[in-house]
Amino acid sequence: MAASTQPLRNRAPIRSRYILRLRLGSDEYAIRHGLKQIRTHAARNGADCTVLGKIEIVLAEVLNNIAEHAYADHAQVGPIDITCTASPDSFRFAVLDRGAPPPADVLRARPMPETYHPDSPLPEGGFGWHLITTLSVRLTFARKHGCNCLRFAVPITRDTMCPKDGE
Amino acid sequence: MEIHSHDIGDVRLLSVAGDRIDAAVAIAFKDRIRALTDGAPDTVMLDLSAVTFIDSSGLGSIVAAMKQMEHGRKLQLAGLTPNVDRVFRLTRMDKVFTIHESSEAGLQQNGG
Repeated sequence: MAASTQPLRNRAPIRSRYILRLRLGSDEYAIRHGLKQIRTHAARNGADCTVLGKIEIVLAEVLNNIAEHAYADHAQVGPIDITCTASPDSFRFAVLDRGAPPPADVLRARPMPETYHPDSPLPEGGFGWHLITTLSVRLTFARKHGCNCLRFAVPITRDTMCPKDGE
Repeated sequence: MEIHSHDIGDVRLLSVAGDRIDAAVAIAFKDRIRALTDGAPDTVMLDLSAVTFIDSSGLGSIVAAMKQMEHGRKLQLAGLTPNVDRVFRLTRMDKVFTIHESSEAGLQQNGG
Protein backbone atom coordinates (compact mmCIF):
# COMPACT_ATOMS: atom_id res chain seq x y z
CA MET A 1 0.00 0.00 0.00
CA ALA A 2 1.31 3.44 -0.86
CA ALA A 3 2.25 5.58 2.11
CA SER A 4 -0.34 8.22 1.28
CA THR A 5 -3.23 5.77 1.59
CA GLN A 6 -2.20 4.29 4.94
CA PRO A 7 -4.38 5.14 7.88
CA LEU A 8 -3.08 7.88 10.15
CA ARG A 9 -2.25 5.61 13.10
CA ASN A 10 0.27 3.64 11.05
CA ARG A 11 2.25 6.64 9.97
CA ALA A 12 5.37 8.03 11.55
CA PRO A 13 4.38 11.62 12.42
CA ILE A 14 7.70 13.09 11.37
CA ARG A 15 7.12 12.03 7.78
CA SER A 16 3.50 12.95 7.80
CA ARG A 17 2.04 15.42 5.40
CA TYR A 18 0.15 16.71 8.44
CA ILE A 19 3.23 18.40 9.87
CA LEU A 20 4.98 21.51 8.64
CA ARG A 21 8.18 22.85 10.19
CA LEU A 22 9.39 26.32 9.34
CA ARG A 23 12.24 28.57 10.42
CA LEU A 24 11.66 32.29 9.89
CA GLY A 25 13.47 35.52 10.53
CA SER A 26 11.58 37.90 12.81
CA ASP A 27 11.16 40.76 10.32
CA GLU A 28 7.70 41.68 9.09
CA TYR A 29 8.12 40.40 5.56
CA ALA A 30 9.53 37.04 6.69
CA ILE A 31 6.51 36.80 9.01
CA ARG A 32 4.17 37.53 6.10
CA HIS A 33 5.84 34.82 4.04
CA GLY A 34 5.66 32.34 6.93
CA LEU A 35 1.95 33.03 7.41
CA LYS A 36 1.38 32.32 3.74
CA GLN A 37 3.17 28.96 4.00
CA ILE A 38 1.12 28.01 7.08
CA ARG A 39 -2.09 28.97 5.26
CA THR A 40 -1.15 26.79 2.31
CA HIS A 41 -0.37 23.88 4.65
CA ALA A 42 -3.63 24.27 6.58
CA ALA A 43 -5.66 24.59 3.37
CA ARG A 44 -4.07 21.39 2.04
CA ASN A 45 -5.22 19.72 5.24
CA GLY A 46 -8.79 20.77 4.74
CA ALA A 47 -9.08 24.03 6.70
CA ASP A 48 -11.94 26.16 5.41
CA CYS A 49 -11.70 29.92 5.15
CA THR A 50 -13.03 30.49 8.68
CA VAL A 51 -10.38 28.26 10.21
CA LEU A 52 -7.71 29.71 7.92
CA GLY A 53 -8.69 33.21 9.02
CA LYS A 54 -8.46 32.27 12.69
CA ILE A 55 -5.11 30.53 12.25
CA GLU A 56 -3.70 33.51 10.40
CA ILE A 57 -4.69 36.13 12.95
CA VAL A 58 -3.61 34.07 16.00
CA LEU A 59 -0.27 33.18 14.48
CA ALA A 60 0.29 36.71 13.19
CA GLU A 61 -0.22 38.11 16.70
CA VAL A 62 2.10 35.50 18.22
CA LEU A 63 4.81 36.26 15.66
CA ASN A 64 4.40 40.03 15.98
CA ASN A 65 4.78 39.69 19.76
CA ILE A 66 8.03 37.79 19.28
CA ALA A 67 9.35 40.37 16.81
CA GLU A 68 8.33 43.33 18.96
CA HIS A 69 9.15 42.01 22.43
CA ALA A 70 11.29 38.86 22.53
CA TYR A 71 13.66 40.16 19.86
CA ALA A 72 13.21 43.85 20.62
CA ASP A 73 16.80 44.31 21.83
CA HIS A 74 18.45 42.05 19.31
CA ALA A 75 20.52 43.64 16.60
CA GLN A 76 19.59 40.97 14.10
CA VAL A 77 16.32 39.31 13.22
CA GLY A 78 16.18 36.23 15.35
CA PRO A 79 15.05 32.79 14.31
CA ILE A 80 11.49 31.66 14.95
CA ASP A 81 10.74 27.97 14.64
CA ILE A 82 7.16 26.99 13.94
CA THR A 83 5.69 23.51 13.90
CA CYS A 84 2.14 23.19 12.63
CA THR A 85 0.40 19.85 13.03
CA ALA A 86 -2.96 19.14 11.47
CA SER A 87 -5.11 16.82 13.54
CA PRO A 88 -8.74 15.81 13.07
CA ASP A 89 -10.09 18.40 15.52
CA SER A 90 -7.55 21.22 15.41
CA PHE A 91 -4.37 22.69 14.03
CA ARG A 92 -1.70 22.53 16.73
CA PHE A 93 1.21 24.96 16.87
CA ALA A 94 4.52 25.12 18.68
CA VAL A 95 6.38 28.40 18.24
CA LEU A 96 9.94 28.75 19.56
CA ASP A 97 12.21 31.76 19.75
CA ARG A 98 15.55 32.53 21.39
CA GLY A 99 14.64 36.03 22.49
CA ALA A 100 14.07 37.64 25.86
CA PRO A 101 11.61 35.97 28.24
CA PRO A 102 8.17 37.57 28.35
CA PRO A 103 6.72 39.12 31.54
CA ALA A 104 5.76 36.57 34.19
CA ASP A 105 2.06 37.09 33.61
CA VAL A 106 2.26 36.42 29.87
CA LEU A 107 -0.57 33.91 29.91
CA ARG A 108 -2.93 36.13 31.86
CA ALA A 109 -6.01 36.88 29.80
CA ARG A 110 -6.55 40.57 29.14
CA PRO A 111 -10.22 40.82 28.29
CA MET A 112 -11.45 43.70 26.19
CA PRO A 113 -14.04 45.94 27.80
CA GLU A 114 -17.59 45.24 26.69
CA THR A 115 -17.78 48.81 25.47
CA TYR A 116 -15.41 51.74 25.36
CA HIS A 117 -16.33 54.77 27.38
CA PRO A 118 -16.86 57.72 25.05
CA ASP A 119 -14.96 60.10 27.35
CA SER A 120 -11.81 58.03 27.71
CA PRO A 121 -9.25 57.72 24.93
CA LEU A 122 -9.54 54.61 22.79
CA PRO A 123 -6.69 52.11 23.01
CA GLU A 124 -4.51 51.80 19.93
CA GLY A 125 -2.88 48.56 21.05
CA GLY A 126 -3.20 45.68 23.47
CA PHE A 127 -5.56 43.80 21.16
CA GLY A 128 -3.12 41.08 20.15
CA TRP A 129 -3.10 38.92 23.24
CA HIS A 130 -6.88 39.12 23.49
CA LEU A 131 -7.21 37.83 19.92
CA ILE A 132 -4.78 34.99 20.68
CA THR A 133 -6.57 33.85 23.84
CA THR A 134 -10.03 34.17 22.31
CA LEU A 135 -9.36 32.20 19.14
CA SER A 136 -6.99 29.51 20.43
CA VAL A 137 -7.25 26.67 22.96
CA ARG A 138 -4.73 24.73 25.05
CA LEU A 139 -2.41 27.72 25.24
CA THR A 140 0.76 26.99 27.23
CA PHE A 141 4.07 28.75 27.64
CA ALA A 142 7.43 27.36 28.74
CA ARG A 143 10.88 28.88 29.03
CA LYS A 144 13.50 26.17 28.44
CA HIS A 145 17.19 26.27 27.57
CA GLY A 146 17.04 29.95 26.73
CA CYS A 147 14.05 29.50 24.41
CA ASN A 148 10.48 30.69 24.66
CA CYS A 149 8.04 27.99 23.60
CA LEU A 150 4.40 28.85 23.09
CA ARG A 151 1.98 26.06 22.24
CA PHE A 152 -1.63 26.43 21.24
CA ALA A 153 -4.27 24.95 18.98
CA VAL A 154 -6.88 26.47 16.71
CA PRO A 155 -9.97 24.24 16.78
CA ILE A 156 -11.62 23.11 13.58
CA THR A 157 -15.22 24.22 13.65
CA ARG A 158 -17.51 22.76 11.07
CA ASP A 159 -20.67 24.41 12.29
CA THR A 160 -20.02 27.76 10.68
CA MET A 161 -19.38 28.59 7.10
CA CYS A 162 -17.12 31.36 5.94
CA PRO A 163 -19.45 34.35 6.31
CA LYS A 164 -19.49 36.36 9.47
CA ASP A 165 -19.28 33.64 12.06
CA GLY A 166 -20.23 34.20 15.65
CA GLU A 167 -17.77 33.70 18.46
CA MET B 1 0.04 50.90 0.18
CA GLU B 2 -2.27 52.47 -2.33
CA ILE B 3 -5.34 54.31 -1.08
CA HIS B 4 -7.61 56.05 -3.58
CA SER B 5 -9.43 59.19 -2.49
CA HIS B 6 -12.69 60.50 -3.98
CA ASP B 7 -15.01 63.18 -2.67
CA ILE B 8 -18.62 62.13 -3.26
CA GLY B 9 -21.12 64.68 -2.00
CA ASP B 10 -20.20 65.43 1.62
CA VAL B 11 -18.16 62.29 2.06
CA ARG B 12 -14.54 61.59 1.34
CA LEU B 13 -14.29 57.97 0.29
CA LEU B 14 -10.89 56.36 0.85
CA SER B 15 -10.58 53.00 -0.88
CA VAL B 16 -7.75 50.79 0.33
CA ALA B 17 -6.24 48.92 -2.61
CA GLY B 18 -3.91 46.59 -0.66
CA ASP B 19 -5.17 43.28 0.73
CA ARG B 20 -3.28 43.36 4.06
CA ILE B 21 -3.06 45.95 6.83
CA ASP B 22 -0.44 44.29 9.00
CA ALA B 23 2.67 45.18 11.00
CA ALA B 24 4.67 45.62 7.78
CA VAL B 25 2.52 48.54 6.61
CA ALA B 26 0.66 49.83 9.69
CA ILE B 27 2.75 52.97 10.23
CA ALA B 28 2.78 53.95 6.55
CA PHE B 29 -0.97 53.27 6.42
CA LYS B 30 -1.65 55.54 9.38
CA ASP B 31 0.44 58.36 7.88
CA ARG B 32 -1.28 58.02 4.52
CA ILE B 33 -4.76 58.11 6.08
CA ARG B 34 -3.78 61.18 8.08
CA ALA B 35 -2.60 62.95 4.92
CA LEU B 36 -5.79 61.99 3.06
CA THR B 37 -8.15 63.12 5.83
CA ASP B 38 -6.51 66.56 5.97
CA GLY B 39 -8.95 69.14 4.66
CA ALA B 40 -11.56 66.44 4.02
CA PRO B 41 -15.33 66.88 4.44
CA ASP B 42 -16.67 66.06 7.93
CA THR B 43 -17.34 62.44 7.05
CA VAL B 44 -14.54 60.19 5.85
CA MET B 45 -15.42 56.65 4.82
CA LEU B 46 -12.75 53.97 4.64
CA ASP B 47 -13.65 51.26 2.13
CA LEU B 48 -11.97 48.04 3.32
CA SER B 49 -13.63 45.65 0.86
CA ALA B 50 -10.29 44.74 -0.75
CA VAL B 51 -8.66 43.99 2.61
CA THR B 52 -8.65 40.29 3.47
CA PHE B 53 -6.39 40.47 6.53
CA ILE B 54 -5.85 42.94 9.35
CA ASP B 55 -3.85 42.39 12.53
CA SER B 56 -3.81 44.31 15.82
CA SER B 57 -1.28 46.84 14.51
CA GLY B 58 -3.49 47.51 11.49
CA LEU B 59 -6.49 47.90 13.76
CA GLY B 60 -4.47 50.26 15.96
CA SER B 61 -3.63 52.39 12.93
CA ILE B 62 -7.32 52.77 12.03
CA VAL B 63 -8.18 53.69 15.63
CA ALA B 64 -5.31 56.20 15.64
CA ALA B 65 -6.56 57.67 12.35
CA MET B 66 -9.98 58.20 13.88
CA LYS B 67 -8.53 59.83 16.99
CA GLN B 68 -6.57 62.23 14.81
CA MET B 69 -9.73 63.60 13.27
CA GLU B 70 -10.91 66.83 14.86
CA HIS B 71 -13.97 66.99 17.04
CA GLY B 72 -17.21 66.58 15.15
CA ARG B 73 -15.65 64.78 12.21
CA LYS B 74 -16.24 61.10 11.67
CA LEU B 75 -14.34 58.14 10.28
CA GLN B 76 -16.76 55.49 9.06
CA LEU B 77 -15.91 52.04 7.71
CA ALA B 78 -17.39 50.06 4.86
CA GLY B 79 -17.12 46.63 3.27
CA LEU B 80 -15.52 44.58 6.06
CA THR B 81 -14.56 41.12 4.80
CA PRO B 82 -15.05 38.21 7.26
CA ASN B 83 -11.50 38.17 8.69
CA VAL B 84 -11.49 41.94 9.16
CA ASP B 85 -14.98 41.89 10.64
CA ARG B 86 -13.90 39.23 13.17
CA VAL B 87 -11.03 41.39 14.45
CA PHE B 88 -13.35 44.39 14.88
CA ARG B 89 -15.97 42.30 16.69
CA LEU B 90 -13.58 40.51 19.04
CA THR B 91 -11.98 43.79 20.11
CA ARG B 92 -15.41 45.49 20.41
CA MET B 93 -14.30 48.10 17.91
CA ASP B 94 -17.43 47.28 15.90
CA LYS B 95 -19.26 49.29 18.59
CA VAL B 96 -17.00 52.29 18.20
CA PHE B 97 -17.15 52.79 14.44
CA THR B 98 -20.13 53.27 12.18
CA ILE B 99 -19.76 50.30 9.83
CA HIS B 100 -21.57 50.01 6.52
CA GLU B 101 -22.13 46.82 4.57
CA SER B 102 -20.57 48.43 1.48
CA SER B 103 -19.39 51.87 0.41
CA GLU B 104 -22.48 52.19 -1.80
CA ALA B 105 -24.77 51.57 1.19
CA GLY B 106 -22.69 53.92 3.30
CA LEU B 107 -22.84 56.73 0.78
CA GLN B 108 -26.59 56.29 0.51
CA GLN B 109 -26.99 56.50 4.29
CA ASN B 110 -24.90 59.64 4.34
CA GLY B 111 -27.33 61.16 1.86
CA GLY B 112 -24.99 60.86 -1.11
